[in-house]
Amino acid sequence: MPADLENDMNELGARLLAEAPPVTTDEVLRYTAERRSPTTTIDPLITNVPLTDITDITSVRRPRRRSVLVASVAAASVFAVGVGIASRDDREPDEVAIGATPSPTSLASAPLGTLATEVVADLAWPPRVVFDDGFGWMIEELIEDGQSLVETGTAFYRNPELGELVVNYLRSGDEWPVPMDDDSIEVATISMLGADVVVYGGTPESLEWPTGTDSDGSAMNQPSDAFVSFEATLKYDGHVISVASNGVDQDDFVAAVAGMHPVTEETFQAIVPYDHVLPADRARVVDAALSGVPLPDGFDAEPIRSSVAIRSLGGVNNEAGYAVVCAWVDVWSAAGGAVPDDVATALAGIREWPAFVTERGSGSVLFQITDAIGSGELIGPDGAVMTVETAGGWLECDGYEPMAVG
Amino acid sequence: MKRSQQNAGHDEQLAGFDEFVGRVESRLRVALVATYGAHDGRAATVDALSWAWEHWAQIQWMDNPVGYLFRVGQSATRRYVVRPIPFERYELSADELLGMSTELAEAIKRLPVQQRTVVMLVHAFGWSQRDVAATLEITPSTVKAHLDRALTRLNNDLELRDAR
Repeated sequence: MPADLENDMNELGARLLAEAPPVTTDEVLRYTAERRSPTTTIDPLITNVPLTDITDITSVRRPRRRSVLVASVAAASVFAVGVGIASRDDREPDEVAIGATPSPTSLASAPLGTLATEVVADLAWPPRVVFDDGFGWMIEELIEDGQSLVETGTAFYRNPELGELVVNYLRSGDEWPVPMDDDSIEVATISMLGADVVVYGGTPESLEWPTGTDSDGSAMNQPSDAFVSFEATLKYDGHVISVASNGVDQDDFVAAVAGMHPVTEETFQAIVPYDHVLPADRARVVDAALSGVPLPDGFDAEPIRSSVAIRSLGGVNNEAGYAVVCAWVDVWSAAGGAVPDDVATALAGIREWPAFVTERGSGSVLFQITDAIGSGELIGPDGAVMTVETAGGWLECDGYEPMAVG
Repeated sequence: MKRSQQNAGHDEQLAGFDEFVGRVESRLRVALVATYGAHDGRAATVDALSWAWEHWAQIQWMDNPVGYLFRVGQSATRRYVVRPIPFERYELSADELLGMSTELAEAIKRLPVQQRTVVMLVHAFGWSQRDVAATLEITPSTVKAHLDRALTRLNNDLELRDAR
């Protein structure tokens, strides 16, 4: 950053803080007391929210003030949420290349965020997670239960103005232990969410405002809660999709649910965030991530290169980088006993790997583990002596029992 | 329970909250000021801390209360129908940036909100990227990405204007 710009920024910060003096406890208490009075008008709404009939929901196509569109695909096994984003056609060829700076379109400049997506085209596919952990959409928490019998995903949308919208889905294969009839879906859904939720789409229809306790036994939607939430659950062609919200107006939520609709794979790929890596770009991105990285004998990058998973650039970098790290852990495991020199040497330089170079200053568990391996001081993040089994567990490598973090 | 016992419990809670405010207020206020400017950012701080006091039983045990309250400051306040504080989200008031170079102020105002927050926290308030990541509950790589994009945009904007 140029020195004059840095100086201006520093001066700006100082001026802003001068105009925003510290907040005192007394001020907070006074404000709280004053604010309570006018909110008596909304408290009854919170405790006795008018439910919207499903027939009303389906008639809603657009929210009153904003354009929110929630789309889901089951037939094509693609879920997508979003509207108003720039087309991927606008992408420059190198936009997803490591180190490139994508043009700042879509996510932040879209009228109302963009999308949350998860692709599950085939249960034989590995989990694929789109994860944009900025302020826009992100998808996280893809869970495989057993032998890929169940895949779940969460599309999490956070917009400072709108609030939060969470789309959960649960997809089962033929091996799903519970037949996917209407009754079992409803039971599974209630169990999953721990709240009174509703299945519609050929099943009982309504929109609920759940109160009481959630699955952890915590009170939810109490009158004093600033965050109130809606939940609706849909069944569609073998998928269970739940939509939940925090801080979203009822009208917006209803419109979002009503706007859910199938999209094609092509559409899905067109609306994923611009900084996510499409299958066609994967090999190039993975090759860049592994450039100059010491690879153990027999390491095969092809599964990562040819994967159809759509992930953020960071996600693909991590996928490639962790694959190499875990391959080195496997080398250690195969050798047994002390860390082989080639493993220690390879992992000692991890901060220079393209996949991790931008995080070299962080104190992540990854670096704690690789530093320990590289230095020969085998102490894990928990302070205990680290074995190859626990190292693999900390790194969440396949074949190792995961270690609890935190 | 006797009233004196109730009062003692309240006083204890209040003391805990007062300590909490002392501990988190500065970081929360700076984060919200970086996002919304001095006036609205400070107002959001008051609002978020008010929410914290009303939910003290939950908040006091949180691992990252600043990060959570930052989100509260962003979104929870709109739940209140009657608000004493006008929020101009996404808009930094020009008045709040007066006195600075107009070019810089304008360029910062045009940044997407997340880029603005990150670049302000790092370059105007001197936070480390790691601290920004922890507070905003995003990864360091995302912070870096937002920062790179913000600086690229700022530099481009300022160069374009200089060239005119």
